[in-house]
This record gives sequence, structure tokens and C-alpha cells, in this order.
Amino acid sequence: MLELRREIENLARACGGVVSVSVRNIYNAFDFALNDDVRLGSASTIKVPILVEALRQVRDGRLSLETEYRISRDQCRPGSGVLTHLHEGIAVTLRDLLTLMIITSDNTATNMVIDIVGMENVNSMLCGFGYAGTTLMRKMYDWEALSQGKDNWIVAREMTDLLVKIARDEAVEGELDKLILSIMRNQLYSDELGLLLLEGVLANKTGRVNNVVHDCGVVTTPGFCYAIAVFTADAPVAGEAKVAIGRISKLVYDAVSAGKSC
Amino acid sequence: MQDMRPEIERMAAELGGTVSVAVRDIRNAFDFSFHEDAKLWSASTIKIAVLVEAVRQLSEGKVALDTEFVLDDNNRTPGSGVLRFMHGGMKLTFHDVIVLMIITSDNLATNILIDFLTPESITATMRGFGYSGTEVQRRIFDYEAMDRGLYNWIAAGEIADLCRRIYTKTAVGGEWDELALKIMGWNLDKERLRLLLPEEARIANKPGEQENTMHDGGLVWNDDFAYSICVATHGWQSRSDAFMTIARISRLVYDAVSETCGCDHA
Repeated sequence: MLELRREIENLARACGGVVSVSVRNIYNAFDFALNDDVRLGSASTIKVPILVEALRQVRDGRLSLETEYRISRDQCRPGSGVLTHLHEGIAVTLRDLLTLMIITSDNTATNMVIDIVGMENVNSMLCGFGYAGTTLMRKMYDWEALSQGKDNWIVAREMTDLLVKIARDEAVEGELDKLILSIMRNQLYSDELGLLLLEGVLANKTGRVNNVVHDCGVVTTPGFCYAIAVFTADAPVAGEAKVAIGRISKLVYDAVSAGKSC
Repeated sequence: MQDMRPEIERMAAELGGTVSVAVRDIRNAFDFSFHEDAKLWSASTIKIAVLVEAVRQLSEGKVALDTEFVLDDNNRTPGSGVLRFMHGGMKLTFHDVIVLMIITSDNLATNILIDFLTPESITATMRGFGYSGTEVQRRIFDYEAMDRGLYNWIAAGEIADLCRRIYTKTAVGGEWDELALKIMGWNLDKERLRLLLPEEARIANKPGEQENTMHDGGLVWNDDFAYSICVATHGWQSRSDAFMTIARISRLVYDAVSETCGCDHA
């Protein structure tokens, strides 16, 4: 296990900038931490807590997955996603919005979901789970809020803790936790943690803004299961950070497969 | 200009299988060809040909951008994309369908388009450009047609040429090629050709992947130069090696073009 740590440290050094790694056992795996308590700009990984809060409100009967919403042009935000490129007035259900927010990292869908669930409710949920670092303070592409110092933050160990809760049906507390993983499994962006993994084992959510490159998710095989977050900031070449995340993910996967304990 | 060929030969040999590379000069670049005539399974790169036929039929008034298509709950093509996860009865426009086919590689959107445009028309348009390799024989994930030996095909040289036509507005012409280029620029999957390029590079592309086949084709440009490129690979053992090989070849070409035009972007 010292060897795994050394190899991950080498990859982190080669990547440059900040590299934060958290692995949490779900079954037949192990816990691993490297710089896992540093608070970083979340980029799109904050969309996982937003999804959790939306489904908690569905569970409580405050929202329905089948409610339809129309997308107006002034709600559209650029960056990742598809809604901003589709016809004005397109009708989508809450389930569609949540799916697009995760699988295409749709910023328009995300901002609509934030309005629907309430930013403060996402933060109370995070607080209730005891997460001191992870916070949603602004919508996607809200430069005005950003200039006022409001940003979205994430901590690798808090993210993997949330993912463990999801995998154990303890985040939404019930069947809807399974919906979270099934949405994340349909992810279109799976070339970071998933770069070197077999198809079908990963349910994930990436985050990318300039030289911030993050990915987090749950890896499930018939033999083992674990949550993993690899977050990077300020790597000189963003493409290299992606590959570093892919390599770290593969090292962890191989060590878990080999049954090494940490 | 440094000669890229030995380096590309080395990378191709290391990856194994077939590696095709085609570059077409548009502005201050050069043409380059490496096994570019090899006819390969298209994977999703065929969607560039479907896009061109879609804008061609738009240009002829056979369909309009706001023509409505309703998502059929009984029709859920597997594989990439988003439409198969959306609610049945969702109302889409023709524009939405072509956008989703390209930017999320949506297979369901592609099949809606192949049914509407017809495989014969798409192939005929490619033949009209003088392409003997690029061909649509069936819908995506049509197992019954696959059993009958029907596949979709591309050749890297033809895809690079088609992309050059889109950029230079000589595929369908005018606003229609501009629309095609704009949509390719919105592509969410900017990994392979884009991965190792410097920030100032602009790209519009369409990758494709199935089994041991991985391609990426599109346009690369900046203030100083423009070129189209297709890197097509087939028959390799390692997916991640194919991924990185396409990325490295793309960077090699970018650096060579930078050097040729006397602008150091490396």
C-alpha cells in the first residue's frame, strides 16, 4: 500500500498544481486519502449535491419527476450541456432536467434545478450531513455573484462520503438513491476516472473550469465497490490533469482488484 | 517543417492495427496523408455525413429547421446520447435532432435522421463529392442489418475532405455549411483531437468509437491557420492507447502546421 501511495504521489507531482484524492470503501475495497481535506472550487461536481437535494424533495412529495418546465431563452446559459442549443420553449420534465444536469453537465438545467429546489435547501442538506467545506453559493455562469466572492466549493473527502451514502441508500434514504447512480452511470463525460477502466463499472460526475479538472464517482464490479474523488487545480496542462486522474483511478482500481488493504 | 511521417509511423506501429491520418490545408497549413484511403467502420464519425445530408435537404426545402419530431416512447436506440433518457412524447425540432446527433453523438437522433433522409440519399451525396468509401448502409445499432453484413463506412481522407468542404462552404454552400460548422463546434466531446492542443486552438469535430475502432474528425483553426483533420484507428488492443495516440497525432500536426506558417503556437 505504501507503493500505491508512492505511485499516486508521483503522478500528482508530474501533474502539477493541487491534487486531492479520496477513496472510500463500500465493500471489499479500502480507504485512501491524499490531501483529501483541501477545499477547492467545485466546478460541475457541485451538481451531485444538487441532484441529491432535488430527489429528497421528490421523496417528500414536494416535487414530482414528471412536472414539465419550459425553457426560455433568457434562462439559457452557455458552457456545457445541450438545452442552450435546443429550440426556445422546449418542454422538459424534472427528470429530464436532472438527467441533463448530470450526464451532459447542462448549466441551463442546473440553474433551473437550483431555482426549483432552492439554494439554501441544498446547503442545509450538506450541513445536515456534517460537511463544513462543500457549499453552493452561486448559479452556473453567475459572474456577478462570483465577483462578490460567492463561489461553489467542494472537498474530496466530503464528496466521497456523500457518494458512499448514495451507494448505501442513505442520501435520499430509499429507492431514489438508486436513481442517482443510474443517472450518473449514463454519464457522457467519462474519460477522466473512466479513461482506463472497463466500460460499465463507473457512475461519475466530472467538473472542469479552465485548469480545474475534477472527477468523482462510484466504481462497482461484481467483486467490490468504492467511492472515489480525484480533484485537481492549477495543473499547467489541463489535458495532462485528465490523464493523471485516469491513471490514479486505474492504480486504485488495480490495487482494489488485487485485494490490497490500506 | 519537421517531417511528421516517421513519428506517426512509430506511433501507429506502437498502437497496432490500422492508423489513418488525413490533413487538408485550408489556410496556411498543408495536406498530409497516411493510409488515408483505408475504408474503416465509421462508428459515429458517419454522423458528419448525415449532418451534411441534413443541411443539404434543408437547403432544398425538403424539411425546415422547425419541422417537429415527437420522441416515440417505443423507440429507444441504445448507446451514446441523451434522447433515450428523455420523456416519451418530447417535442423536438429538426434543428434539435441534428444538434443532438452531433453534440452528444445521440444514436436515437441519428436514426430519426437516417430514416428521414434515407441511407441512399446520404450515400449518394457522398458519391457526388467523389467519395467511394464513405457510405451509410443501415441505422445505428440495427442488429438485424448487421447480421446481413450491412455497415457504415468512412475513409479518413474523405472525412477530412468533407470537413474542409464544410469550413470552406463548398459542401452545401453558404449559411447551411455555416450551420453545420457551428453545430460541430458545440460538440461536447472534445477529448481526442482537442485533448493536447493549446488553449488558443479552435475545434469543431465529431469522434466515433465502437469495439476496437476509434476515430476523430473535424476542423482545427486559430487566427493564423486552419486545416481539417481525421485520425482513424482500428484493430488496436488498448482503448486508452488509441485515445492518446489520436491526441498525440493531433498535437504533432498542430505543431508542424504552426512551424510551417512561421507562427509559434507550440
